Amino acid sequence: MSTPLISVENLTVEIKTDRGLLKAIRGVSLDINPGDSIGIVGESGSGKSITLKAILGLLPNNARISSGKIFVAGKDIATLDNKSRRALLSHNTGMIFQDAIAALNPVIKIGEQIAEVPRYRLGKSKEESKAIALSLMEKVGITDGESRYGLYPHQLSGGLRQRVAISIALSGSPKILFCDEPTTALDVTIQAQVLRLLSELRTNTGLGIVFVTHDLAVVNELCDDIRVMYAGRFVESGSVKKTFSVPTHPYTFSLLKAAPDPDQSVHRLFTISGEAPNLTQEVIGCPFTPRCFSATDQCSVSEPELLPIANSQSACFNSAEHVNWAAEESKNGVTR
Amino acid sequence: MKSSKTLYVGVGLLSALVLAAIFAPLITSFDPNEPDYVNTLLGPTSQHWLGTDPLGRDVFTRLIYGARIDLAIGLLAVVLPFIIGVSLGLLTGWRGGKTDSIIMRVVDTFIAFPFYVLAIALVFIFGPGIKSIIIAITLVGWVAYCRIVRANVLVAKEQDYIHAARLTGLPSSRILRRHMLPNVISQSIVFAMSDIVLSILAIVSLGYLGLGVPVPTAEWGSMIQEGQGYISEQWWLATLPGLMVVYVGFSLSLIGDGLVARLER
Amino acid sequence: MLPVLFGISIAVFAIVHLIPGDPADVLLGQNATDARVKILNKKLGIDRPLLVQYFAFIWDLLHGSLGTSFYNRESVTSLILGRLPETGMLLFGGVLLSILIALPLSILAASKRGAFRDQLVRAIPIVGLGMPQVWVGVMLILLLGLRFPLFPVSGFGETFPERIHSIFLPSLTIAILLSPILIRSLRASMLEILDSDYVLTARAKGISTARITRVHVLRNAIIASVTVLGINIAYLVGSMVVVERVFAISGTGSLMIDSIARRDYPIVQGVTLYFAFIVVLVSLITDLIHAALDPRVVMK
Repeated sequence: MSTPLISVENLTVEIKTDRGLLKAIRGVSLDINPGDSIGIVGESGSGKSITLKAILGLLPNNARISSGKIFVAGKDIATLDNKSRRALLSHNTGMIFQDAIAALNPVIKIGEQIAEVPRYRLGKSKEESKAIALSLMEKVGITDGESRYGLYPHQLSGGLRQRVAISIALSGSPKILFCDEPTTALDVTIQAQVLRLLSELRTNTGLGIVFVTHDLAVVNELCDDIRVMYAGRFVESGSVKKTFSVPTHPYTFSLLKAAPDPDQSVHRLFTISGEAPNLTQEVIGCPFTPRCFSATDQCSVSEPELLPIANSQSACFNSAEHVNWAAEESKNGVTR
Repeated sequence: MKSSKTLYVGVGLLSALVLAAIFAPLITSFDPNEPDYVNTLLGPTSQHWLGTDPLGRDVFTRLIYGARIDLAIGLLAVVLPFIIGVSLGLLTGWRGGKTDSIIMRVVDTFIAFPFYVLAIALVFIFGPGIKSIIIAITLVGWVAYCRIVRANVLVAKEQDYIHAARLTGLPSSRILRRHMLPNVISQSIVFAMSDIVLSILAIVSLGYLGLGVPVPTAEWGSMIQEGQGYISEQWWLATLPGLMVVYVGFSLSLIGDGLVARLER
Repeated sequence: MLPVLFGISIAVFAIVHLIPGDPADVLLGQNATDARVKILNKKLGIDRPLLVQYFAFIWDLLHGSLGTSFYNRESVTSLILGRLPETGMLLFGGVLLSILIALPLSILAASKRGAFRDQLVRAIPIVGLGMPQVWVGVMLILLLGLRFPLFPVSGFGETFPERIHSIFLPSLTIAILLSPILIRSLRASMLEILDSDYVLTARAKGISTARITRVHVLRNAIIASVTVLGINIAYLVGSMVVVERVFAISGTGSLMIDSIARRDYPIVQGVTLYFAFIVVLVSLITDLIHAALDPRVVMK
């Protein structure tokens, strides 16, 4: 097996808060290759956004990587100086955010923001940069680029802003696009358009996508692989197809139960009773235990590792049982 | 934990000075205002800890007695603006409509006047002295409280606890005093801490300009002015009174920050 | 803006009518003869109805006349305008230096929240807001005028370079007084800007830190500074009056204070109006600058 483009090994991230040190990420490993499409799913506070920001070196000041390694193109980025790390990362990755209006500088024309990378990172001439920016705008479906080039972010609609943000992320021709809930703030029709754009970019240009969301339907639509995140860890990992038909972790199971049928394009936020654990305190046992429908004595004593089961990976002591249930269910034709 | 500490340190520092000012005659045996032409411009000695000024008066004594004047007027000058500003803020926020627009126009007008310019103009009208200072500070100072309280009232007005109180048919005066006031006053109290500093700064400035507390009464501003002429040799004469003000400002800042942190919790 | 100007004119007009008792008595002192009081009353037009007096005042005002000085019969308008260079340079110098002090410190503090340098910058307002204006001036005279004699300690030179040289310490005084206020708000705005997603976007783009600071951060930071300055203009102008006195600059503030001693009421009235006008004008200018820098602001 060749080296993955981006490889995260046992990453842990700590955040300093008023209520103490928060262990936001507690040992996450992830390999990303060009052309991959990985959906990271979890509730807010589960650590999915922080995972992205940690990989991209965009953690806020009060957060730090406390252990683990991140390799980009085979290089351990912790060993690089700031400048070469930034160069390596920006050469391979791009990122789009949840709130496009916040992600765009309010006082700079959108065209200039798109042309910034060609002009100031790739050293192209002013005219070339503008031409590149215009072609990027066309690529992400911004019509009439020439006249919209000089507009400011607040003059655009939400959908167009996110398209601008995507074109900025693509301006350095990255191999992987990291998406931090880029469709959550948009209404349903615009959301569908942006997803279609991302999926086209994927098929047409082989762009890899890591998509963080709490919307399972989006993952189903856009991604091949899924990572389910809970309390700063991946609790289930596998292909979207298999995971959706045979969830092996009770959390994934509950998510799918709570969500409407993912094949229908009805999007809804899921709710599961109980609260996510407080990560400023030490986790004893499986953190999902208090909310779990199939917890056993063992669950409150030690925390399960992410281990292979039935073609995916699951961090649950009772995975085997769940696989059987799922098999039963599908055999009996019970619909979710 | 940390916020309480800030608050206590601030209160401690300020009380130390207040106590020293109150018990000044016990701390020092000199008269703050009586000249002693034999011992002028002395450096620090065992008798005169911080030396003497050009008229032979003990500098330490004058600093302590100066605290009486500056602290007392500073505090006093904030009381009236606080009461007026908070009441008008409550009224204008609650009533809205015409009342609101008239009061806010007046507020806008006062904001356009630089405080010192207005204060100096008022001193012109009423003559130098404590009375003019207090009138000037009151005339300008209420504006800030009015704006703060009004903004808070506008928010609180839409809260359910106020709706509930209104539904019970209580008279407005009762709702404002019992239900509204406790919820909108905290920010004004915090502001009052920095406002006391602003008043003291005004007293000091007017004292320096010869428009404040008449000489020879010991007052920090006029002490800075008297000291400026001797700045190249007896630099401490002008420096120390200013440091007293910084000390007061520092302790009130800590109290303000401590209060904010406490209120936010 | 018009209601404010109207309010200002009433307030300034009221100054003379607030004087308890007969204004002429106050203006002329205790030993005024009846004849002189009568002459003065006539000259002031105080025997006329209040409303008539107010309209006469406004009428003169609209014609650029603020009356003539009692002391030397000069026109108040030309007296004030004659001191415009002092006021203008002090105002401009003070604002410029305060931004030059406050902006870098705020960026420095916000770029590493909670670090030692941040704590240090956060302490500046706590100490700085309690410094008396005149004292800061005297301390600068002591330090940069006498101990290290780099700048003149008083007056206002003849040639332009001389003037810049002599206005430096007073401007620095203004800047030191204004910086704590600026720093307190700017540090908060900087934290917001540096934590913003658009700075993250810029970082993710791989743009150099220098360019991010210069283009993405600074522009938004300057907008924030202008807003904060606009709010504190009245404080700034007020401090100027006092600081002029410390450095014996014969600007408008000194004119006012001298006139108080001489009971020269037209000048006191005129200068008060002038300063209020400056505050309104500078607020307007900051609004315009804000609108020019921030495309989100639409001027009405």
